[in-house]
Amino acid sequence: MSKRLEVPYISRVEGKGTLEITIKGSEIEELKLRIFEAPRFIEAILVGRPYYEVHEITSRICGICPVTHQITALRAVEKAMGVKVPEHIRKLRKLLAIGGILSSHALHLFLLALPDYTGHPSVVEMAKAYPGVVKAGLRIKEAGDGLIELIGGRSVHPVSTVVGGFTSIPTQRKLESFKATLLKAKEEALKVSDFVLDLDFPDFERKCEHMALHKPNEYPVNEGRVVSTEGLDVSEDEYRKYVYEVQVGYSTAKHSLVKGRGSFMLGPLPRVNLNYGNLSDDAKEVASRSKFKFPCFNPFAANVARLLEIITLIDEAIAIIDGGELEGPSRVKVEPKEGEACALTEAPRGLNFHSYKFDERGFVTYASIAPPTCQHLRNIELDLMEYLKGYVHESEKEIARRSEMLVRAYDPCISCSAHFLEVKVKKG
Amino acid sequence: MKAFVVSYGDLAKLIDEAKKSYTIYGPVRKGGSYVFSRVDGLGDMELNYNRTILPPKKFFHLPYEVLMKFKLRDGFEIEAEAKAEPIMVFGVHPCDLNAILRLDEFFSRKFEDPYYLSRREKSLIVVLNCRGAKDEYCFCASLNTGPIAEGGYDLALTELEAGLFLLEVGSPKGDELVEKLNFPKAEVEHLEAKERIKAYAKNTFHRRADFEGLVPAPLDHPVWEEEAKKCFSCGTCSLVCPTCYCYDIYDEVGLSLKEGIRVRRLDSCQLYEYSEVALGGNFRRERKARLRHWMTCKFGGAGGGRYSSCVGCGRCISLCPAGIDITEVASKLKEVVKYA
Amino acid sequence: MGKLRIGVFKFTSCSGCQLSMLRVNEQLLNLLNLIDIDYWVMVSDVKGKGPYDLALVEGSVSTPEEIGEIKEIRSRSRILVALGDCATYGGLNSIRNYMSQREVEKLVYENPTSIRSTTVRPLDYYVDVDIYLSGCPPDTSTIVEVIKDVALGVPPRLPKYPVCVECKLSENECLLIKGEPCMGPVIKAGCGALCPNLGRICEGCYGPAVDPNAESLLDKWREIGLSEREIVCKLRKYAGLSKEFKRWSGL
Repeated sequence: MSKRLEVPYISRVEGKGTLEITIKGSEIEELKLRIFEAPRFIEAILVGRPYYEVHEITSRICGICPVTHQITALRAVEKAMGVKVPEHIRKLRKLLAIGGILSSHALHLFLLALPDYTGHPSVVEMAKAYPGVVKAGLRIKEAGDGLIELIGGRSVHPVSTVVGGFTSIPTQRKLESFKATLLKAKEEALKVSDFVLDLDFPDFERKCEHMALHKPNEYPVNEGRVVSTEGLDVSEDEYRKYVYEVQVGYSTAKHSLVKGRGSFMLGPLPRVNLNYGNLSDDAKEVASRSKFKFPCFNPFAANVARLLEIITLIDEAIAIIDGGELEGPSRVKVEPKEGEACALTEAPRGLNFHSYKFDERGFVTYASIAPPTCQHLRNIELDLMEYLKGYVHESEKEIARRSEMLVRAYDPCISCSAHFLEVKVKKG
Repeated sequence: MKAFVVSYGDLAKLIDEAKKSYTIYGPVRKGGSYVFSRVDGLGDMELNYNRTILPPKKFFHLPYEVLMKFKLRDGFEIEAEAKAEPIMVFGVHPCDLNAILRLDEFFSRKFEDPYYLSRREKSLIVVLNCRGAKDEYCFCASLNTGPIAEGGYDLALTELEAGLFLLEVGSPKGDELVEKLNFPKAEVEHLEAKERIKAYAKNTFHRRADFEGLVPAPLDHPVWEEEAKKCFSCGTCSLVCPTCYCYDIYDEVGLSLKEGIRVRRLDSCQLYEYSEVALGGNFRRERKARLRHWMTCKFGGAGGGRYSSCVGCGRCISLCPAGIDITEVASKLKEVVKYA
Repeated sequence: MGKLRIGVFKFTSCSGCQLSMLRVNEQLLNLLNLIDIDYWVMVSDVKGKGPYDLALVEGSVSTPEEIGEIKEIRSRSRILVALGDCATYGGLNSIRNYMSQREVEKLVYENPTSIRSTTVRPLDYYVDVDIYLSGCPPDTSTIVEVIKDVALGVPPRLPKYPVCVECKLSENECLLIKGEPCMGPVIKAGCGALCPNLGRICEGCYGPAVDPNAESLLDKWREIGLSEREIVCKLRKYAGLSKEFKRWSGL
């Protein structure tokens, strides 16, 4: 007897996805994470646009992590045009990206994921039972949004970012006065750390390749070398030599695979696993109280990793502000020229890869974008196959609940479907 | 009328004295332009400015203000919001002063506007007379609204020579402020020097405006069509006009839907919504009609044709993104009026 | 007064409008005194079928399935709001309408046979829309205003006038006069002149103002030195399909 189970519209993720599972006896015959987000052809619409519009358009790949798509595009465009931005712009971009990660992590962890563990259908109901936790999450999100606004002008699709820098940059004084908000957010994060650590995370591990950026002396966000738990260690320019995209016949999306190995995981958990030494002291202290020991291969531990990153990145943001030297010319001049370049950054959900070619007047002739959710979609499927083995005899509702929870732990940002395919559903 | 001769240092003293009772605003640089902004002292100000982006009307007829708060309980509770603070506006040019005097007249007609008037009452205006046209956009001389103020101020300054000013007292409030400062009294020679500056200054204006006979204006003159082709109907001309007072009033309700505020916002006849009525009807749907309305209002339509409400500050010309020039339009219209 | 039963839906879009809604942050809990979330996949597992007092729809319509869905949502909603530029004008997605569909697909996919997308359309191509809340994304407080207005049963006060109004009241120097290709004079206000306040030209993300004089602006841009191709790109970004910009956006 085979049963087919469908979870239509996976909720509390950003975008539209369904999951189809066909179970035969105690075997999972087939499992498909199906994205039916309408394709938006971002790469195609970029072709023929001027270089100064690229980041503005890629921002619209995703309303949750517009910052990362802006910064990745800006870095790639600047590389292609042979422009190097000064150190204070690099620091301000890191602050901007930190804002983006704080906002995204707080949204995901406190508003979307936690209801899984407290047994509520949404944050609305959860807020009645745990108002303090929800408020803490909203305050952290406010700090993230506020930081983006302070530097970028707007939290969703920031506006002051341009090729070569910013149209205007905040004064050191304004940045200083924002520290209070950051400190408050960190206090909230520490206060709810016990609550998060004590959640009833499923006991499940599947060893797979974890991949992230790495920098020796800072938590990597906008740049770094690509490293993995299987020994990968390459520059962003070499990335495509080692990680390639495949359009799998049956599949819902272009999968990314490491040459000679296979699927891999991106995002907060791989970042923490590969950059544990760069966590701040307070984050390490919280990590030491967790039942997870890093490196950790339980995908549900991504939620703890998010908390650790929130703390670390607030600490880094404060250190950047305290370090000063954030004032200077807001931008450097850019002259369009023919060229090509790629850039790789850490989006809240993991590695984000952009690659472009330009003609001599600076118009795009080629664009290729691999956002994190696309890249590790296959890994989610493999995790699900493994995880659900133990639950095939449970009710459909329970299987559905558990699968959604695991999918959500990846915080898939399905809107990032720069190139998700839609396939006909194979009837059971 | 009392008059003194003061140095730059004395002016700093004047401002320090004023700071005891007033918040001080003065012209400061913003990029390549100027704005009236809060200042700590004379050093923050740029006295040799041409014109600010927004005129001083922004202190009295606010771009946005809360008129009252209301609560919907058993009945309807209201709480008026009128907390005028004493302010000194320093360095106001005579054109802008004359504009304020016109607004004073408008807001104290049959229905007095307590919001405007209370702010005016608490204010102290220090005029800075112009020794000549500030740039090619100025045309106050031909409208008798400058370059030297003839009254209506609390204090007026005329720079007689570099760093030396004639300080004239124009009101009891102004008098009260300077009397403690023991500035040296002005002599006849100083007053004469001012007269000489005035006579000279009047002849430094290349731009002239002659609005006489333009109310009513020829409505079907081709100039309206030509200018409307350029015009963006963006409202800049009227928003930056020191005498434009049109406003809109509406309510903003709070999240509880049980309380809210009543808001007054500066409006502009150049905007499509301005002349829109229920069910989408609109009296000035065409851009041309809106542009013509504003200009004829400035020519004197607002004053019933008795006087022009333009003071020649030049903002609507220098700040128009489409490059429309009221003085040029007027002279084209005059051609027709002259030969009609 | 009962709470508003709301549905929030996403079509072809980036989720940014929903994120702008969620930007209320701590006020979210107050907002919940006004609304019951009957359907909002991003936030809740509850998947109510309505009828909705208020449906907020983000995104443009670009697949055959979406055509059916928007009609279905319309039939179950009292007030339907087009949330953001994609829903109002087709948004950034609509840039691809100016390219051949095959070409677009081939640029992105090696094997595009299974792609099933159609020409990008705003919601009102298929259904009646009661309120248009443009912006990429629409401002958070404006979304909240609209929800309040629907609760009160009054038409929302949304500006039709151009960005210049807000820009002048912020006392910014005019970027167009300074020789930068600002779109402010033809773009709807509502952002508070966000970009010009930060020294950036208006890129047009709120869509066309009422009765915009695009022809005059194009003359200015040519004076500044913009190429015809750049001009088309500008007008074809957020609201190329709008009746106001269609003439110039290259079809």
